[in-house]
Amino acid sequence: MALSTDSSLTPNGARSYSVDIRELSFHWRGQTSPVIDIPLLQIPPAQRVFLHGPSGSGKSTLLSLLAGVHTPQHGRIEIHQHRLNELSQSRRDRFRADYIGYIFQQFNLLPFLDLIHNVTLACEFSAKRRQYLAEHNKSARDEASRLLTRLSIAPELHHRAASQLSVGQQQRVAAARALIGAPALVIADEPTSALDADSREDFLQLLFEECAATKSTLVFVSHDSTLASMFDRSVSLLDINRAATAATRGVS
Amino acid sequence: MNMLKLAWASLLSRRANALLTIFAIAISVTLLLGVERVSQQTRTGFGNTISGTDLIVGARSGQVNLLLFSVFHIGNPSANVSWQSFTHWRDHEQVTWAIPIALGDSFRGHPVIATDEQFFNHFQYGQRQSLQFADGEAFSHTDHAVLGARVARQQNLHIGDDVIVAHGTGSVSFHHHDEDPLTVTGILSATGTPLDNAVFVPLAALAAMHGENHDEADSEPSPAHRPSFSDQRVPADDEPEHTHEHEHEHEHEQHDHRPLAEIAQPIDSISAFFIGLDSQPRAIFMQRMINTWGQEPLTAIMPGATLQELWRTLNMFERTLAIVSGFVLLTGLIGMLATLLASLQERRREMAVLRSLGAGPKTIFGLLVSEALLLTLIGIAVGLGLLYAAMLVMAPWVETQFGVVIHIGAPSMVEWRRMGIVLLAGLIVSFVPAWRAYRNSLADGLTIKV
Repeated sequence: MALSTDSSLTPNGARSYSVDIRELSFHWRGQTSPVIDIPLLQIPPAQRVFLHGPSGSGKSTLLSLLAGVHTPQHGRIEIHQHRLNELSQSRRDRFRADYIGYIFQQFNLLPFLDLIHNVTLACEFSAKRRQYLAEHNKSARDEASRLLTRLSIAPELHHRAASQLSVGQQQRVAAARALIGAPALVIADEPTSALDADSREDFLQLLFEECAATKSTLVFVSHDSTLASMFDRSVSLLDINRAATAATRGVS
Repeated sequence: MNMLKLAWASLLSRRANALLTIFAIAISVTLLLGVERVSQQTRTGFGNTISGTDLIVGARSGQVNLLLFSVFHIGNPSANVSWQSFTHWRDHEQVTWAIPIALGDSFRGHPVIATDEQFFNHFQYGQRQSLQFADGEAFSHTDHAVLGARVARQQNLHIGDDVIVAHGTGSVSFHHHDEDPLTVTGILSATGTPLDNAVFVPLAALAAMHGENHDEADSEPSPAHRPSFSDQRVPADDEPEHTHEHEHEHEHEQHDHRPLAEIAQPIDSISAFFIGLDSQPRAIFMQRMINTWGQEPLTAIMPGATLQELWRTLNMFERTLAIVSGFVLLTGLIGMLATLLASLQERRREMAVLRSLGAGPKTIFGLLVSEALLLTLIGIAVGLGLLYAAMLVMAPWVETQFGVVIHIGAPSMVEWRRMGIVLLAGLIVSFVPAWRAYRNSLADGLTIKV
């Protein structure tokens, strides 16, 4: 997949990254040994990255650092020119609402809301996403409906409660929610692990198409290395995380 | 969709728990407000029942008892006051007017007050309002009667109709004074006091019904020997008194149509009398004089002061009820706390999802507080509704039983304050689950704990 090099350059000619991590180190409170120790990880805009590694290699921790839920003790983590490690907690929450679409492994939806409201909920917390929709003359409801239909959720289901859907459908609704308002970065934390092989590929295809349409960077975490070939780039935490290399190898 | 809408949707999804919580809060609110309502209504209702009367005098008894039976027709006199004692004090130089009343009989469950025309001239209620006739005029003959507003309405009686007074105060009486029908000559305007529920008859009529015989010469009875006219000479077929009564029947007939003005002593003894004085500040001296009078043991009370004493007794009762309703409120709030805390565990996913969408821990805190506030607010509203429903249902019953008219008005300042306290208590209680959720959301981050 060809990258648009123009869009990845800052005006002064330096290369800009969607995700730019340098000398990042994080340890849980009360512990001295880090679980994350990444010297360098740079992801250009709109790249689709497959992130894998055994359990305990720090995948979830890295994702929560990318999402700004936790802050590193050392180093720099920059997403779309925002240095997360320098922002206050409430600024990071707002940043997450504006720039990051997050898809969980399971249980993504609020069971008491219908699908449309589950999707538009992402806009409730983000002024930037609402602004994006306004600039493109779309209402949140119409865009939610459009995305759901694009992700093969029939319109007659749009006003059903989320709890009535199959797991596969729920994951597609979660994708629609992550994508609405075109966030810069979509993080998917093993979203396909509850799906069977066929729907797994369908889901990935739909996710890729929509990420391409909104030019969103995709960081996709999975155990399933058979999926790796569908991505632009495959990154193993064992290679980039020095803490994981030590810890996991010690255990196994 | 703001936090309140989200809280609402979330509550709706757990509506069984939410309804129970709301119900518990509603009941405590109804109790809290109800106690306040009842005490306020009783105070104004009772306070408005008598006005302008400086002293109430009855046979030696408890002050509250005397007030209750003479003014509110609750309970019975323990003993009677002789007519001689009444005239003694009526003719006292300090006394402007005196109203004798004799109680104990009833008409279809309505209390009968035997009195004289002074009652209609001097008795006052509310803010010194005198009695008004809606129709007709005061009684002037021994076979006349005057009806309270509600009696006339409920029994559908008009001027000229006959009423037959029964012995005793129950609505089902075993003995009727069938031989003595009285004619309605007047109907009073509504007063909102127990008087609306009363039938007024001349003292002489009552005496005649009970077989008293008053010729001028024959009237020197020993006062203390007649505890109640209701108990006097109940005719029973196989008793010697029966024949005695028939001996008097002839005289009876004569008395029936006598103008009241011709009767010097209408009755042997009365239940109590109301006194109006020349100078109100002298009431306390008069009270002591009557209380220490040597000729007959009497109790004189100042209605206002005795009402205060009654309130002091009721205050304790009220305070106990308020404390109990406070505990009911506490139970309701603890129920809400338990429900919200229990829901947190199963809602950790929900919280993680909200966090992933950019909701800060403060938003999560606010969500839980919103939920608790919604529950409390709805609880308060439902409680208020229950209170008004209860009042609508109870008002007619209270009016019949106690003669106190219940005004169903907007909540008072005190009631608004109590509702405010409930809301505040709900808010404070909500901080516990909100704080827990706040801590959880910080600790969990985006990991979904199942």
